[in-house]
Amino acid sequence: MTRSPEVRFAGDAALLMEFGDMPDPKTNRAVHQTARAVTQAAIPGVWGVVPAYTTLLVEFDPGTIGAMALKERLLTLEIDDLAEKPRCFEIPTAYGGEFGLDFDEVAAKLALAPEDLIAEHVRHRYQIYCLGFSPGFPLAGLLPESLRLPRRASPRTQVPPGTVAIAGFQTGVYPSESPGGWHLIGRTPARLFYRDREPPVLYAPGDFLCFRPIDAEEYRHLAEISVQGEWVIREVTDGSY
Amino acid sequence: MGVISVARPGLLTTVQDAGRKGYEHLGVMVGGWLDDWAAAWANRLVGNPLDRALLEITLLGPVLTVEEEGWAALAGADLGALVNGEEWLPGESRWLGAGDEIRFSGAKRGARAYLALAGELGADRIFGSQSTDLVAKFGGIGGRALKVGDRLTFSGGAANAAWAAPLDTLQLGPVIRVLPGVRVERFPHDALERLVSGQFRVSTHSDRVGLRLEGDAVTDAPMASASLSEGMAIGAIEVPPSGELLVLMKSRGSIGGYPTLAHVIRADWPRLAQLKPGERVQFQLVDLAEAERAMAAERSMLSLPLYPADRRPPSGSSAIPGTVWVQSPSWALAYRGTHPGDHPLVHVGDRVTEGQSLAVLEVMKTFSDLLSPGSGTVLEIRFTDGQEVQEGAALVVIALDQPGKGNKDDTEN
Repeated sequence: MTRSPEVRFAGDAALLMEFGDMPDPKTNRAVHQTARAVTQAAIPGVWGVVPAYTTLLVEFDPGTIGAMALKERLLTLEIDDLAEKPRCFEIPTAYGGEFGLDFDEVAAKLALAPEDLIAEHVRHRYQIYCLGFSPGFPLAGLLPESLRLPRRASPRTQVPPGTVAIAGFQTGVYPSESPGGWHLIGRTPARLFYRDREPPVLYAPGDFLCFRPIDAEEYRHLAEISVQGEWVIREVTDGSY
Repeated sequence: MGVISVARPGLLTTVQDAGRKGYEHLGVMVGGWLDDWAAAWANRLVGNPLDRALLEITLLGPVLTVEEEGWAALAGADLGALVNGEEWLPGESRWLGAGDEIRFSGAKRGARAYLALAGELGADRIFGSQSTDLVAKFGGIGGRALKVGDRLTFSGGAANAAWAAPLDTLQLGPVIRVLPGVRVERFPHDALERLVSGQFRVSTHSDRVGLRLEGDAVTDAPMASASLSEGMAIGAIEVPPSGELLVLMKSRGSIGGYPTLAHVIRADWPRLAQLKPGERVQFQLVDLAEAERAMAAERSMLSLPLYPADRRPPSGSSAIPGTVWVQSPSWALAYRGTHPGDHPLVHVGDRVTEGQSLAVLEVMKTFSDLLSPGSGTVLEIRFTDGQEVQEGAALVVIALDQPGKGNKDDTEN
C-alpha cells in the first residue's frame, strides 16, 4: 500500500478511510484491496463497504462494535497486496441522435466536430474506479482534458437504460433507468446488470472499459441478442489496442 | 398459512426487512425498514425473529382484507388503525380472523407504522433480502409499493397469544442528536453551531432516500460540491449548493459529492424515520460516548418483557406500563447540569435511582432539582441545556425497573 490511510468518524455507525486526495490508479487499488480485506475479515458488526475513488466507507452496527475499537482493527488489517490482472470490457455504443440527447450540445461546448467527439471518446480506455449511483453503474476515467465538462446544471429525472455519459473526468453507463446529471452522448444495447446472476456484473473496479462505435442497425441487432439474455459486452484483450 | 389482500394500497406501503447488506460496492443500496426500533417490536410481538420482512406503512395506511387468518402485530406510528372499526393500538399483537378488515383512519403520531405478520412473508428475495428497492425496482412485491388486488401470504409462526410492548414502540420528538460531520472542516467555523441553534422543518419533498429540511441557513455562501465523490454514511446531513439540508436515509445513493456537516447518531435513526412533512426539527450536538450509550440503552430495552395485551392500560401512548415521564412542575428554564453550562447530570442509557437529580429547573432565579420518581434507565431526554419549558412538559423518560411503580397514569397494574 502507498501509505496508511487516515480514518475519519462518519458518525457513530460508519468510518471513512482516506487513502489520498487524487484519483489515481494506485490510490484506488489500495481502496479496493482494503475493501476486500475488510469483507474477508468478517468483523462482527461490519455490514457494508462503499469503495470510491480515494476513500472507503465502512458501515457497522454500533450496538455490536464501537467506532474506536473498529478504527484500531482497520488500521491493523492484513492487506493482501496481490492485484488481479485487470481486464478490459468493450461497450458497443451508438453515439448521438436519438441515442445521445446531449451529443450535439457537448460537441459544441467542447468545440469538437461530431466525428472527433466519437473518435476522442473511443480512443482511450477508462479504468473503473468504483460502482455506484445505481446497481452496476461503473464510474470510470480519467477522461482526457479535451472531453471534460462540468455536470449539467439541472439533473434529468429520467435517463434511459444503457445510456453512455460523461461528467468532469468521469465516463460511465447507466445500467437502469434512473435520474442523472451527466451529459448523455450515446447508448449501448448491452445489458450490464442482472440481479439473478452471479456475479451480477462482469466488470469489477480496477478493470477497464472501452467503447466501440456502432450504427443504428448494429444497435438493433445487438439489442435483440441482449433481450434473449446473452451478454453483449465482451472481454477484449489488450492486443486490440 | 395466512393471506391478506389489498383493497386500497394507501400512500406508500412496502415490504421491508433489515436490508440488502453486502452489495453496496456493486451500487445496490441497503434499503430496508427505516425505523428498526418499531420494526423490531412488531416482529417480537408476533413471535418472529427480529429480522423478518414486514410491511412499512407510510402516513396514509392501506385497506386490507384478511382472507385467511393468522397473528399480526402493529408498532411505530399511530396511523389510526382499525380492525372492523375497533381501534388497534401500535405496540400490540392480535389475531386476525378471515373476513376482518384493517383500515387506517389517518396519521395521529409519527409517519411510519410497521405491520408484522406471523412467520415468513411471501415476497421476492433479491441478494438475500426481501426489502423493496423502489429505485432499482426489485425485491418485495415486484419491486414496487403494494397496489389494489395484491395478495400477501404469510407462513404463520409461533405466536399463540396477544401481547403488548412494555414501552412506546414509537420514538418521537423534535430533538435529533448529531455528531460532527466527516467533512466539517470544509465548512465555515460557525456552520455546526448554526445547525444546532437553527430551526428547521421537514419538506414535503422528503422520501426514503432522504429528508429535506427547510429553515435557517447554516452557511452564508453556497457550499461547493467535492470534485471527488465518496461513500455517504446513512444519517449524514449534507449541504447541497441550494443550502437546503438533506439528511440521508437508508435508500440513499451510496456515493455522493455534497459535503457532510453532521451525522445523526445511530440511536436516533428511528426518530428520523418518524418525522412528518411540515414537522419542526432541532439538532443537539453530542459526543461519541453519548451516542454509544444511547445505542446500548436502545438495544437493552428491546429485551424488556412483553405484557399480555389485556393488561395494557387503555389510554395508549401516554401511559405505557414500565415507563414514566418526568414532567416540569411549572414554566422554567431547564438545565442538564447543576449549574448552567455544567456537565449533564444524566445521559440517555444511564441507570438512575429514586430521588436522584435528573435536571435543574430555574424559576425566577431560584434553582430546584427535578428528581427521579423511581429507579430505572433513562430512555429519553426531551430538552436541551438552558431550554425554556412549559408546565407539564415531559422532560425525561425513564424505563422503570418495576413497571407500575411511580407512574401516576398507570392504574391498571
